[in-house]
Amino acid sequence: MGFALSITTAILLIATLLMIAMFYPTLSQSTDELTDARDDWYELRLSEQNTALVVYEQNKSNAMHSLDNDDDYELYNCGETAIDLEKLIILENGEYREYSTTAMFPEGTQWLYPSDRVALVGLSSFSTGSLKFVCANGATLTVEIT
Amino acid sequence: MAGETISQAIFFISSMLVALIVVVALFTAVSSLSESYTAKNVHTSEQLRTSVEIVNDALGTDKEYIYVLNNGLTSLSYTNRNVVVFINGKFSSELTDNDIVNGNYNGIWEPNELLQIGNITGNASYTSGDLVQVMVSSGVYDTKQL
Repeated sequence: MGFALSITTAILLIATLLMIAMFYPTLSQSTDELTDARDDWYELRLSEQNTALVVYEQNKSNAMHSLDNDDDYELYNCGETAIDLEKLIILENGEYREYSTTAMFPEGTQWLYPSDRVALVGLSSFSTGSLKFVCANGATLTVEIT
Repeated sequence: MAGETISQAIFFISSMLVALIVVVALFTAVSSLSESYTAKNVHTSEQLRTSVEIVNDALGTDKEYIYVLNNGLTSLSYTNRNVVVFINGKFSSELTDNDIVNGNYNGIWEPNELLQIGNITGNASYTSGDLVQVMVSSGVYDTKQL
């Protein structure tokens, strides 16, 4: 009886060790993948939270929400992330407007770094109504053109 | 003596059988548990890396299109079977004309790309004040009152 019990215990013990050896790497990898995904999620939210745009009058520092398309304005990056102007989406009166970066911003400008400003040279081509800038990470700015 | 040997042998074989049955049952249960855990983590990771945002301008009035930005890290399918729209809580079967407006037109809704959802009739898809919800196949959704 003692021998049978020992063998049974040994079988159960070996099987448990084998199962741990088989499943632990998979479970560990899966948990790591989930942790990475959670980190990515935090990074995405942080990037969105740290992105902010505001429109200034040229050479001034007063935020404008209602713009006259005859005047000169600048887009100011008051956030902490660089904004790729080539990926900036513009909605004019709620509808997507296809434009090239050179049509809206001075030629050769692609990145708007934190605390930098860029002239809105193409503003005169927009009609009156709302203008919405949408950054690649989802941050937005809406102004009205009068 | 011979009877004792036989009973010991029977006891030994029974113990082995019980041990094996227990091992097989445990293996099956742990394997199933491991598969479920991995599958759940894969799904959760996909959800964490997926993010969509309705970027329609709330200032716009009755409009034809709903714009949804992929501001996550995963590429998505944008067919009307994979992107579902609810207007005021009701499934909208008319909003089936999906198109990427700022992408490379490779049939995939990649991060930073804007999906334009319209209806084939060309009529306004929503009116101001409507509650719009857009859901992608992984279950990630965004809701916005327009």
